[in-house]
Amino acid sequence: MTEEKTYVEDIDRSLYDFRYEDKDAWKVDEGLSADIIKTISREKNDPEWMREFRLRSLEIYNRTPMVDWGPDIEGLDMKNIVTYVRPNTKMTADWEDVPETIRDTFEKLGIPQAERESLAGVGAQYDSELVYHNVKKEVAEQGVVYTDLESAMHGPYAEMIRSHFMKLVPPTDHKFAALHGAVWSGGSFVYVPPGVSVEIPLQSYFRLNAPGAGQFEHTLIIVDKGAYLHFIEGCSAPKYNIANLHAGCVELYVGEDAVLRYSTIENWSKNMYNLNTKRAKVEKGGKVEWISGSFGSHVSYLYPMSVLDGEGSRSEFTSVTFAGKGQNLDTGCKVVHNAPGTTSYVNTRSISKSGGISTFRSSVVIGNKAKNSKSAVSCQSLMLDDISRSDTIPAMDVRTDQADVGHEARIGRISDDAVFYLMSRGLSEEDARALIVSGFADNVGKELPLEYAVEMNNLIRLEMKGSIG
Amino acid sequence: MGDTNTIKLNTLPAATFRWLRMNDASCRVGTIDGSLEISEEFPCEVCAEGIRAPEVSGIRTGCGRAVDDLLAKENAAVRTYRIEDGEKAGHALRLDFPYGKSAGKANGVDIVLGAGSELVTVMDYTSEPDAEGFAAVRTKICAGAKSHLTLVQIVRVGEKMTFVNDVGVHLDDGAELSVIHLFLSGGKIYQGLQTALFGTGSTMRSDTGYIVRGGDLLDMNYNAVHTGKKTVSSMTVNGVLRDKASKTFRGTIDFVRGSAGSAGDETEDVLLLSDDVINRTIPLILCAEEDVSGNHGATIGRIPEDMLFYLSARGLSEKDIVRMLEKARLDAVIRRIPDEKTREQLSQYSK
Repeated sequence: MTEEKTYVEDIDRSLYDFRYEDKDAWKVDEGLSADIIKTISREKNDPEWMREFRLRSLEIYNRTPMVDWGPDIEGLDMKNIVTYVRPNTKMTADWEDVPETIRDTFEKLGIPQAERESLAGVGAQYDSELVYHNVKKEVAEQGVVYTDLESAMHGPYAEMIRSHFMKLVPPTDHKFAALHGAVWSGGSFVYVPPGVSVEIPLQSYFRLNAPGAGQFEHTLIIVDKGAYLHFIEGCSAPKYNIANLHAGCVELYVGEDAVLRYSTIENWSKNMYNLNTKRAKVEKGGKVEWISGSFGSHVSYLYPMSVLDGEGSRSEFTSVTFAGKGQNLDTGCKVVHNAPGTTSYVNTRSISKSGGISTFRSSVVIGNKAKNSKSAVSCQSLMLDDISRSDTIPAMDVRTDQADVGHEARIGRISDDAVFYLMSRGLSEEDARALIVSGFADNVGKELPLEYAVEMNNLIRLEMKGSIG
Repeated sequence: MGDTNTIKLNTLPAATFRWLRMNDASCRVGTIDGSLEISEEFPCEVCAEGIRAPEVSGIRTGCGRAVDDLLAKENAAVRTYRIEDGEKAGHALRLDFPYGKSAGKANGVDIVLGAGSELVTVMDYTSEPDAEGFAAVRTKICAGAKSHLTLVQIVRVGEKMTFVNDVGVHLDDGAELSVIHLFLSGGKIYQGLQTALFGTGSTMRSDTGYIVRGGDLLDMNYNAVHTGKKTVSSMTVNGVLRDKASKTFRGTIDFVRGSAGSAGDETEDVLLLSDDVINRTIPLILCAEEDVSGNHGATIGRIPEDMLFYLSARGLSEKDIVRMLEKARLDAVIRRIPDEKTREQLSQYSK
């Protein structure tokens, strides 16, 4: 019997690959300089401390070397990147007030519909600024704050923001954290008061429309003692033939006995350099759950980090990465156990095809104070052809004898036995192979709310089905 | 005479986050005043000579180029051991490295196996307990088609010694390599092992056992590079860390494009017996081939509570249980040594 190769189609991005001319937008010059930073700061009406913070971050950026251990980012030249693009509109809480082209963009992405049907609040960012932000009245009445970071910096939460902003991810962390500190714009601020459970998710959606631009949104979430929040982040961009850059930053503070679920479906276009930094600090008895789907970008460096600072705090990380033609996706996670009785669980899947490169990279550090801590890491990779590449690079550093750490990694191709089994149950070889690939990536899909699992379906399942040649 | 300096070795084939400080190791090289006279005991099927084997040029080692450069700089003596096609050695080739009270030596060993030959090689590194200084041994092996080599390396040197044991192997079609590594004592031990599974159907199995105690350090870098089709590698590492010991294990299975039908497996089990130990593990699977299977599993931690309870219920004290588990880990490796004389020499570590 001649064995036929499975062919799985690239993800169809037509749903996301539409664009509008940005003729009405205002932008700074390409490149990075103190003058550009001062202009951004002035445009955004920064308080003085933020202006100084930006300039200090620029200095750090200039003296910090480029990373030398991950995917090649030589194609990214900051001299060509526009770091701030302001759409010609103000932020509003009514979709009718959003300019037509921008509203049309988010309609196509299904954001207003999702807001009506299943979300407690939505923030929509277009290029460098939020154009829409709204939170349901009943959620706001619980004392939940969900707003843009810029407004919050001038309101009653100004001190809270000042004491948390880039404290988890300082500009000295790495070169692109410093860049973020210098040019950040947009993003959301969420505060959930003690004991409040936000039953339905909040979502921020980031759309980068301008060619050759960067998006540097900052998300700051504080979930106070005993509170619960599910926050969803989505992002996409049309494809251009010049490099775009995303260097966002997410800082999550999870209070005592609080739970924060942070879900991301990342679907940037294939000209995007996605150099994003996400970090959570979890207090006693708290829990952070990361759900992550990485499908887009030309190059990604993405390793959400959990710092388990409180006794009995927990972290769960579930992800799927799909690297197709022209993509080099370096994803994974980091966990630092700093307190007794902490627990981390990592479960990842990655798929490589058509010359795509997928790398799972992780670190689990168990410090000497983290007695009776446990960590389990499981990573599985699937190679769909012999021109792709899949690497796993997990690191473990254990500094106490009172800890239990387990790790397992597996890499391989679609099992002939499994295909044979399914075919013996009446499936065609095509369907059998597509079903296996689809099931392989289902660890993330089943963790998402139904409507976002549907988006996942757009990205994986439907594209895989019927695509065997 | 060599100067005191620091070299970078045991570099990961794919670097990761710098802040973890696992991408490579820094080794302080002490004064080297020549090469050690190796105590040899070789079977009649093996011939020895004092020149380098041309077959091993180009073979890469686990520690990396820095050790090659060091040996070249120090003009280290290289001994070559050769077994011809089809020969099967009647007994083990024994190479003893008795460093005595002071080290300061660098040696090279080349081993060439002809097609279809079979050989067991035991390399035993010993010193007086209070021996000081730096020593390095680099072993390069070229294994011909369908040859079979068992390489046993035992490190039991003084706590003040720094010892580099670097190995590089090339396997032709159907060649089989079995490596047994025992690290029983030593101040700072740097171990490299790179195996090029070049020939179709070649196989490599490594079994490593260690006990690291006091403030000692063990730094390992094992790479199995699958180039040939239907190649198989297996790495098993079992050890115990006590006191303020520090251990790093880098283990890489590298499936190069074209290595279809290959399989690689890594397993590590580390027993931590002190709150001051440092255990670092980084197992890599690099894959550029679809038709392969790679697996890794690691278990790091204390004695499982249910096991402790079970054994305590049978009248064993915690001290006895720890001793038993330590011995069991080493014994599992010692039992695999095909040379009886060596097994007897290690009986104090075994059951």
